[in-house]
Amino acid sequence: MIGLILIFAGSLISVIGAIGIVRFPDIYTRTHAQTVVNVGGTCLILLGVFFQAPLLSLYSSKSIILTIFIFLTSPVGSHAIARAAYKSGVRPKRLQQDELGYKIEGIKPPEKEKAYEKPKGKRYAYKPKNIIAKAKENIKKKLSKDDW
Amino acid sequence: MTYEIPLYILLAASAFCIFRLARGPSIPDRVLAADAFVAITVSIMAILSLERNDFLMDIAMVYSVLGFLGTVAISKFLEGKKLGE
Repeated sequence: MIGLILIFAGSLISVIGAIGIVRFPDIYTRTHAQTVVNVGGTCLILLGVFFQAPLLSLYSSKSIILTIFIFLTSPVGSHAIARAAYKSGVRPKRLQQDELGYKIEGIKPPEKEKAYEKPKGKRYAYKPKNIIAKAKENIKKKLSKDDW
Repeated sequence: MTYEIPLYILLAASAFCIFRLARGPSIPDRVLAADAFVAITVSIMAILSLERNDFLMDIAMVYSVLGFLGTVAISKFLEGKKLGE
């Protein structure tokens, strides 16, 4: 009975993962769906076969060995696929900033604005009266810079 | 009889994988779909081996090893056009 439930759950999970392989927009998201198919689907079905088979036989031990093998090799394969996709020039969709790409192609990334550092020895950077005025000036500068 | 329903469901899953294999925009997409197809085929063989002969499980073991090796080899080839590293 446990075996039948596991087989049914595994087949449903693998069909869900296959729909994900069709529907996801990008390789790097499709690797997620492929891992669902491999680990969630196939390993559950093989565990179900283990419970359905006669206990402690050569046949059931083979299914356990296959489960462990797929469990170990599936992340290796999906990692290799994602790495190959990046190296062969496929970029993820809706990418905001590509730091690994800058590193590979040897381009300097655009510098971020440095956070404010307190100078040594002084308790306040500005006198406390001027802080509010400075902040207002900064807000005005930012508002003029950005296009709303 | 009871094993027929998961077999049909898995058949639908392999059809989805073949769709992605046919029109993946890039080669790694196709490799990924082939890997998922191998996994689904292994599970189909494992279910069929309950009703039919036992040696389908042996075929499934060899097939999963072959699928893994093919995936790693093709992705290494795409990565640097060479095996190694």
